[in-house]
Parts: sequence; C-alpha cells; structure tokens
Amino acid sequence: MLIDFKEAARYLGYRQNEPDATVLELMEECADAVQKESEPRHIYRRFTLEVNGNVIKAGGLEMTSRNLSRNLTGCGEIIFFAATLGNGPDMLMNRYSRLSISKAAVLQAVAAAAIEGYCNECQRNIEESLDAENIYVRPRFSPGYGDLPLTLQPDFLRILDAPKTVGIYLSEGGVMLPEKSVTAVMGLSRENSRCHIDGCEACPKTDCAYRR
Amino acid sequence: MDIRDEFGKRILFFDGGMGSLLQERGLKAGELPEQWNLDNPQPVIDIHRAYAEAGADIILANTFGANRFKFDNSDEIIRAGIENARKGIMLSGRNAYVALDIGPTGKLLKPMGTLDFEEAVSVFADIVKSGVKAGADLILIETMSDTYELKAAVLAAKENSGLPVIATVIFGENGKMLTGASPEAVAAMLEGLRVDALGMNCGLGPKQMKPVFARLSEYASIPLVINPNAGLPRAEGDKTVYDVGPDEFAADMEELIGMGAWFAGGCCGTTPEHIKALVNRCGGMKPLPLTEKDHTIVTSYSRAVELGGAPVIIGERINPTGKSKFKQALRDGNMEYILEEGVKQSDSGAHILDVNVGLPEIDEPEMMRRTVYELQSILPLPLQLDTTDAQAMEKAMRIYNGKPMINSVNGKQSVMREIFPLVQKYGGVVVGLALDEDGIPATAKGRLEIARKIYDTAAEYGIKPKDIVIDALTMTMSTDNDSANVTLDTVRRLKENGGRTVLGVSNISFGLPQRELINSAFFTMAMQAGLSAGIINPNSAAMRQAYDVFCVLGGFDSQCMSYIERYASAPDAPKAQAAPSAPSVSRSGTPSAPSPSSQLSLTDSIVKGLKEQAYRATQALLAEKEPMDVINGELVPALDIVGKGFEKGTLFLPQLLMSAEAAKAGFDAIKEYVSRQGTSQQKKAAIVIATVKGDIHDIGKNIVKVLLENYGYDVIDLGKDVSPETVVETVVKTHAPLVGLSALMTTTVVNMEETIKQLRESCPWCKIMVGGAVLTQEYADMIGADFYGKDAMQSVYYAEKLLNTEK
Repeated sequence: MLIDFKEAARYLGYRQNEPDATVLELMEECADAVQKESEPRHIYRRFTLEVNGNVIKAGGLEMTSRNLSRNLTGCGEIIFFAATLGNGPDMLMNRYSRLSISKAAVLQAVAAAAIEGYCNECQRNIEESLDAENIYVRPRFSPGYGDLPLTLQPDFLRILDAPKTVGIYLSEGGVMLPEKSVTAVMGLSRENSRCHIDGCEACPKTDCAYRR
Repeated sequence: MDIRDEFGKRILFFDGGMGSLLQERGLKAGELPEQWNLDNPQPVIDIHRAYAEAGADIILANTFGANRFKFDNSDEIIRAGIENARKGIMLSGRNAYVALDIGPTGKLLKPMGTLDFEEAVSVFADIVKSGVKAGADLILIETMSDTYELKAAVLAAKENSGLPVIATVIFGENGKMLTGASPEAVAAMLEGLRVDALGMNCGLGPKQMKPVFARLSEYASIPLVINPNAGLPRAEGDKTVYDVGPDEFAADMEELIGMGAWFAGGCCGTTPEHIKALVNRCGGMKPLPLTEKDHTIVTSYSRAVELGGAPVIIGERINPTGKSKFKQALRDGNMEYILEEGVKQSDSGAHILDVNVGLPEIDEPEMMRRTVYELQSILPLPLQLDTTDAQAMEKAMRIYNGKPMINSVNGKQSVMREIFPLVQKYGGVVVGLALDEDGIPATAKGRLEIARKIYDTAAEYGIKPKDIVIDALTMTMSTDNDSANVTLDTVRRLKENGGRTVLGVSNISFGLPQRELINSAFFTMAMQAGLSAGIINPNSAAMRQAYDVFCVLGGFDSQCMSYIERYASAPDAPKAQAAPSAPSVSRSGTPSAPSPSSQLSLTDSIVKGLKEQAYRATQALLAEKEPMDVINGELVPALDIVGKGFEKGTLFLPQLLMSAEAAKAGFDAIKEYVSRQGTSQQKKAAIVIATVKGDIHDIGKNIVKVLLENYGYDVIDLGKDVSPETVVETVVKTHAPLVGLSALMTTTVVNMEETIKQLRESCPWCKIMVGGAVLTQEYADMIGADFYGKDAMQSVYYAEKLLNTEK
C-alpha cells in the first residue's frame, strides 16, 4: 500500500508547500502505524450497463447523473467497487483524537492518502486483469462526486454485500464505517478514450482548501 | 426431543442456502427474503421441504434478517418463518429440528460504529423471544463478522431462552474475522459464553475452510459446526455463481468431518442436491470424541493472548493505589489520564492491561464500565478486570468485547460464590489468590491447598482448570527472609501440576531502597520457576530488560528477533524523546536534567510546538510572575503568533496543533501551580460543541475544542453523533452563549439544520457557529447559522469577538 505524502500534505492544507522536518517525521511515524494497523480489502462486481441521456442503469439500479453519464460515454459495462482499510486506522484515530490532536490530524490525512493509494492499486490490478479482453477501465467515480448523489451509498453497499464481504457499514447519517472506505463505479469500454473528469476536477466546491 | 441428546451420537446435518434459491423463484434484488414468510410462503415451504427430503436434520427458519431494524412486524415474520419450516418438514415426512436463524443486525456496534451494545442485545432479545414463542427447537447465530455483535446475540439467546445455542462466524482466507479475531479468540470467547456448539459458515468454500477449521479444532473443546459456501463466489454476467458441485462438496466435507465437525451443512450457493450428496456420503460417519484442549486464552476483539507458554506481561499502572494524580483523575472523571496510562503501557509492550479504578468516593461500577468501554475503543489489548466490587465486575464483564481476565477470587467461599456465577455466564480467565478466611499460608503446601479448593469450587460452576490462574502471592522480603522462596516454590509446584500462575511482582521489594533491582531479579527468578504472567510496570526499563533477557535465554524469542529489534540501537536512542506523542511531561513526574533546549522561552517553545519545553518554561516563569501575567503576557501572545501564521499560510495545521498542545502543557503547569496555591482559575464563558447526529468523525471538532480551551473557554464537548435534543438540553442547562456544530457530510447537514432550528426555539440567546468539510458560507447561511468557520482558528476568533467584547 503506497502512501503518497504529497497527497497527505494536501489534506493537511499545505497546498503547494512542503511540510517541515518535524511534521515529516510525524507523518512517517503515522504512516508506519497506519500500514501496521490496516487490513485493506476490496470487492467489486461487474455488470452490463445502459446509459440513456443522464439515466444510468446497472446492477438493478437506476441512477441519474450528468457527470457520471459523461464519464461513462462509450462504456458497455460497469464495475461497482468498494475498498476499506478496516477498523484499525479508526482505532488509531480514536486513540490520538483523545490524547494528541496533532497526531490525530496527521493520522487522518495519512490514512486518507493510504486508502486512495490502495484504491489505485486495486484499480491497476483490475485494469491488468481486463487487458486480455481488450477492455479499458475509466477513472473511479464515487457517490458525492459531481452530481452523483451520496444517497446512492446504501445501494452500492447492498449490491456488493459490503457489510459481509468487506466489513463496510453505513451509519444512519450516511457515513461509511470504517472511516477510510471508498465506494465507486468504473466504466468499462472497448475504446481507450479516457475521460478525464476525476476527483477534484469534477467537484463543484471550487473554494475548497484541499482542491488540487 | 432436545437436540442436545443427539450431540455426538451421529453427525447432524444443517440445510443449505436459502437466498439464492428464493431469487430463482422470483425474489428481487433488494427485496427482503423474510417478507416472503408472510407474503409468499409457498416457495419458502418448498425449499424447507426439499432440504428435509435431502436429509437435513436441522432446518433453518427463514428468519436471518428478521430484526426490528428491518421489520416493524418482526414477531409475525418470525412466527410465520418457524411455521413454514415446520410445514416443510411435515411435508417431507421426515423428522428434523427447526432452528431460529439469527444473522447480524446490519449495523456496526460502538465504538467503531453507532449501535449501542445493550441496544444490540435488546434487538436480538426480541428475535429470541419471538422464536421461543413460535416454538423453535434451537437457535443458530450465524454469519457473524464482529465478536462484539456475536456476544450481544449469544447473551440475548441465553438470557431469553433455555434453547440450545449454536454460533458460527465468518473467517476470511487470512483465518480472521473481519474485525480481526482469530479462530482461537472466537473459540475462547464462545466457550466462555457457554454456547452448545460453535463453528464457521459462509465466506469460504470447504477447501479454503480446512486450515482455519483445523485451527478452530485445535483450540475448541466443544462440538464444532461447519457450513461452507459452495466454493468462492464468481461473477458470471450480472450473477454471482458458486462452482463446487454436490459431489465435490460432499468429498471435501468428509474431510472436514474427519477433522472433528459434529455438524455439517451448507451456506451460500449450496442446494438440496449438495445436502443430499453430503448426507449420502457422510451420514454414516462417527463424530470424533471431544477432547479437552488445555489452552488458557484471554482475548480482546482482535487479539488472543495465551498463558502458559512465553511469560505474559500484565501492565499494573491503571490503578490508583498510592498515586494521588490518578485518584484526582478518577474524581474528576478525567478519562484521558487513564487512557494515556493504557497507551504508555501498550507502547512499552504490555500484553494485557490490569484495570483497577476503585476509589471509595466514586461510583465504581459506572467508572469501571466506562473505563473498560473507553480502553477497548482505543487499544487492542485484552484487559484484566480488577475489582472487589461484584457489581462493577459484572458491568465490566458484560460490555467487555472478548474473554477477559478476572482479578480476582481467593479461597474464601463468599468471594468465589459471588464471582464464579459471573464467570459461568460471561466467561473469563480467573485469577485465584492463594489465601482464604484464615489468611495467607506461610508455606507453599498451604497455598497449594487453597489453590486446590479454588479449582474444586470452580468446577462446580463448570469452570475448567485452564481458566484458573493462581496468584502464588508475593510477600515483602523485608518482613520475612523466606518470602521469595515460598512464593517461587508455590509457582514451581503449580507449574509441575499443569497449573497457570501469576504474581504481582513488585510487592517483593516493599520498604527496600532501589526497588527495581530486587523486582527485576525476582521477576527473572519467578519466570524461571515457570510463572505464566507477571503483573508489573512495563514502563520500567529494568523490568522490561529482565523480561526480554529471560525470553531470549528461555528459548521464547525465536532467533532473538525481538531482543535484537529492541536493543540493537538502544544505548544511543532513548525512546521517550522521539515521538511528538510522547506522554506529556505533566505526568512523567521524574525531573530530568535540563537539556540545552530547555533554555527556550515559553513563546519559542509554543511556536515550535515543544511540549516539555513549554511546560518547563512556564514553571520557570511562575517563579517570578503571577499566573495571569504568564497567560496574558506569554501564552496567549504566543498562540496569537501561531494563529496569525496559520492564517497567512506560513504555518500549517499540524504545526498549529503541536503549538496548541505545547500551550496546553503550559496551561497544565499553571493549573498545577494554582491548585497548589489553593485558588482556582477563572474560566471564560461556556461553549457547547458537538458533531451532529449521524456524523461520527470528530477530529475536526476536537481540533476546535483544543484551541478554544487554550483560549480559556469552558468547552463542553458532547462528542459525536449527538442528537439535536441533547444539544438543546445542554445549552438550556448551562445557558451557554455559543454553540459550535460540526458536520462532515451533505447527508448530515440536515441534522445540523434541525439542531439549529431547535436551538432557535429553545435557546434564543445563543449564537451558533458551524464548520466541517462539506460546509460553505452559502450552506451556513441557508441553514441559519450565525457564523461559518472555514477553519478552526476562525471559530476561536469568532468566540473572542463575541464573548470578549460582551464582557
């Protein structure tokens, strides 16, 4: 699991700046702890896909999203994907949220970078496994990106049987547990026309301190 | 007939999958299968019948998810579910038992999730009561991924029925449950809870289950169950399929039954054909006789610690005896102090933590419950529950996630009769002190006799010798020259008889100078005599060294790896200084020689984020200045420098927080100074803060708390997932002029809006500031907040502007 320190620093509000030596040391210590306490796991399922205008149908689910339908242009199939670092990082964050808030903040940023890194790793593996079929994988797209509503989260988790398969639950407030969990879809197409709407760029919150 | 009468006489067969068969008959994705018990019972009855005809001895009623979170009429669904199973059996013309099938609630329990443990117990209790009323023959708790939820379900089953209870969990290919428990941890906990049989289901096919099941059978002394899937799931088009056919399944199962399973059946992907093949092939097999596995195991939700092999370190520091600061923390309900003691010992390598929070003037049962809950929220170590208050013991045992150590009973009948019933119900490894009504025997022989009495009385409660650890009692050397010899002799002889032993080591040196010299040598001698566990201070370098060296020389440290890791670079790298999270100085107690950096001014210490220096610099200043002058002349200006730097973007969040922690160390020094003077410090206004209902991430809110506290506010932190009503109630009670609310998700901003609405109605005086990842000024205006803080410093500035000018 690769942890991108630049990404973690961005989550800590550094924008283009470099953390100083003390903070870097703390980041390294936190990254070690996150690596040690994480039990990364993921699951995905592949479905045929129908896109009509902004309406997307797959896996028995109907979603309406302009951003996602653009992302899926030219795709005949879709992957529903979920990944998590497990409960270990949550416990670490609980621990230091009580005892050292600076460490808690850094842990949380490093763990966020870790789950991103893990998702990228999973995605690369999926891409490789589909190479033989000459199928290309579009960038991940998650509920909450652009106009894809967060309220789809329960459906995503149900389709993947996520509580049982990977241990991801949803609180009544729609928050995923463990905290460092991701759900997403990835379009599958036969053409290598990568759609570059991804992450920050797809987000309407343009004044965000963490925007790339 | 009670199914327990058939245990071990023949292999008993469970049925197979239900969900996928219902889908074949038209159940839609997302539709709840249990609903069909009432709405469309015929397919359900047909499937039950097919399984009974295939030879299943136990038919699972279609009640897996029939809980009150999913159904308003769960009682009716369960009644119909049991009836349908009976009908299916009747139509088959065979005999079979009907099991009330209980799956997970679908919610994650606190502290990792939001479901309260007792609420989970009550959800399961409802299911059990309905099942009993409907006439189930037994209860199967299955497909569990979390030991805590599993414990809640088993307690509910035992407390609300006399039915046989069987529990099975999902292990992954890594041999662990999703929450981290190993087969030995699951076996230890479930045996402790006295289920009738335990095992594994779902997740894996029979082939992948073999290594995990082998481990389970190595540790479990009670009947075992194996209900695999028909292989690992594979996607085919939009469907999930399982590849292991009936014959292959039966062949694999034959092997698993040969490894000791008494119950066999199937889970996802298995069909009546699988069960038929299984019964045909394995119906004639004889269950292997049960053997008592002699493993003494203490567990947390994710760890299993075995006593009897390498010596085990039990950390003794969570105990107020002789510690005035600890006592004060208990009186103040200062949980952070206690948690820090736990974390320090964990960092020092303790395997188990003793937890004693007894103080005459506090509510010990409640404090014990809270401490156990909080400790298991932040640390994975198993706990040793240490109290003489039986009520405190029960509360702690009940909410404990795993199989705890119980400290303690002794040879006195009254004590054993009070504690053993609790162990009988909740499970645990019990420390038995070798003393009784007549006191402490002066000889090893006398102590062994008491040990015998403890083993015998425990047996009356079904508590096995492996779950007893005898405390051979360390007596002070300075009063009796033979103390150590008697204790060591007792340890040695118990060990020779296969017993487990524990000692509170440090008592040996009471009244002597340089106690660690004696303690560490005695610890080594005791380990050499066969001691299973020492209750020691793991933060003591001498004790730690004694332990590490013994493990090397005793052959417990394979290739000396642990030793090398710990000591290869030890002399020139004292551990305590490296980590910024190192325990704060206010508690370390021992004065250290001033290092060059201790010359830093208070302002510099804070700006650089150096806790120890800030603490010492404050102490130094207090020798010449009034506390208020130190605060207003140094601490607050330093915080302002940091705050400004943060705002300008020359200094970033981690630095801001390290500075805040350094300032806090300074304030701690002032607090201590002021309390020594016998006066109390004036706090500014109260500010209530909370993360709103539904949201459970609270690092952001905690950051705001630390900063506001540094600026002298009396912060009332309601925590996370806080209902609007709780916020309103607190603000009404405290008449706080300012409330801070945090939300992270668009989905929880609605709860923030609701909280604001209710506050406006009931607390018109109070101002409301909001913050959190998802919020914007626009959003904040829309939901009617008074102020949007885009970062933590902004909320401090707002509070200062609002509350300092009002004065």
